[in-house]
Amino acid sequence: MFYCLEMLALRLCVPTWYSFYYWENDFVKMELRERNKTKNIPKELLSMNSSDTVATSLHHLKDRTLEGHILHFADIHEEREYETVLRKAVTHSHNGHSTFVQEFQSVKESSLGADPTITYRAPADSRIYDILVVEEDEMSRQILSMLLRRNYLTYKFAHSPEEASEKYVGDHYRLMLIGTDNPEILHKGLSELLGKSKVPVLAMKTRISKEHVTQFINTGFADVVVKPYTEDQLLKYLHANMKDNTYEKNETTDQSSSHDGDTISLDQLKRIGNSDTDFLLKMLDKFIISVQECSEALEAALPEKNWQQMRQAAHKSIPSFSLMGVTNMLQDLEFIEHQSNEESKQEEVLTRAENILKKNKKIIADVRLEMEALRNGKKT
Amino acid sequence: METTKETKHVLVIDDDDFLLAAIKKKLELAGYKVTVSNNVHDAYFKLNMSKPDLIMLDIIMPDINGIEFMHLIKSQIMLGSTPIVLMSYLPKAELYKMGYDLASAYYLDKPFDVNELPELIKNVGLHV
Repeated sequence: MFYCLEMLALRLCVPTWYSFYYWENDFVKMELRERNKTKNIPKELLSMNSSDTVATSLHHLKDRTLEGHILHFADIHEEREYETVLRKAVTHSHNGHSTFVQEFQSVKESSLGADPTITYRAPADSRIYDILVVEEDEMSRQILSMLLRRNYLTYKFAHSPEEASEKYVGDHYRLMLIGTDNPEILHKGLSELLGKSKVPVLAMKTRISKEHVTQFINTGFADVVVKPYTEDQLLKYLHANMKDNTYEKNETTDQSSSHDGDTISLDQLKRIGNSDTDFLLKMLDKFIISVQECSEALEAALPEKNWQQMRQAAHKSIPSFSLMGVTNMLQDLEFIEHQSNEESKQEEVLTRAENILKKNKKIIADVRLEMEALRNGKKT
Repeated sequence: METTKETKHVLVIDDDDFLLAAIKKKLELAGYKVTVSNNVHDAYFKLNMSKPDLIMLDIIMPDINGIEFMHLIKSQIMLGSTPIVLMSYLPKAELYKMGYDLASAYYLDKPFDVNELPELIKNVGLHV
């Protein structure tokens, strides 16, 4: 407490960025000292320099409050600094973390002198992002930047729809977020951008009525984020629109008219393999094996209520069921994967697992019919 | 990343054989040379045999998780600069909370549309 007051006094007496920087570092160290009384934090962490202390604490404490301080620390520096902080944290956490790594590490270190902390580096410009944000207002950009970063969402900013159009062509995004408070944005290529976008586009607007929301949606926006928003509200909008994979969503939209999601569909596989029959047969053969493995794992796990085994079986089956277009089954598999830990949901997990077992038998029968038809040359 | 007319080599590591076969076919048709591994031991062996231009790596695997394997790859002098695309069903936020750093890799949410992969790979900078 005394230490805190001392630091506060120092901060008030010398109110410069320079002193603020050191005050923040000391504050984090102080937090660590406090927590060291109750948690098992290695003592050497407390003697590290500031960035190491911050970075290591992120991993060791997993504490939201302290994490908040760390993020705040990162916010007052450049974005690059934040990445360095996170990177250092993981470098610390991974040294000798796995026996496999240790085993190969020792071999390689002796021959190559390799050190993960030296060669570990980020690419200059990653091009798969969660969100493309189109926002003219500097303050709004800063707020969004902080909130998105704090929630581990990757993003890029564009100042105008024209700039966003260029970025959209070059990179991949899962969602677009457009600030629409400035009416002039309508004359800056907004409609072209909306027409071009294959990902959901959210508008951000201050104080908007329900009628206006409808207008926005009719224009092509997926939804409107009403300003001022809380962090939770913003995240709710973002995750509601990003929860499914964008590419998958585009694809399933095309298929939905002819495919009900209960039976298999060869559409995706045909596109992957240019309708190569041998490839389709090979894939169907592999799919039968996956379905059988899924059934065997669930059958073994159900009587013992082995939730972990059910979760693993569901997790492993999702890619193949997704590729085969059995989308209704995916809902059950994802439910088992995500809800098995929840005691209140475990009854439903059992029901869904039994449901999958029943459906698997039908799916295997369907696949065999498809294979027979392909072999007989009745289908391309 | 340099762009040449020679065939680019992609190594895909995933314990799901069904997905591996689909990715391999799609990328081969798009003009890439594709090597697949369904476990990291095999992948490690293949990495020592030839250096790929891109590594696609599943995160949740039986022997070692993909991020740990990525760190191992990044620690190798010959492989340190090879771009890596991590693939997972886990939301990125979960991975960060678990203490993992994704800053040195590209990240691809599962399930993804395999048909979009050639385009995605181009965006990583790897052109045939």
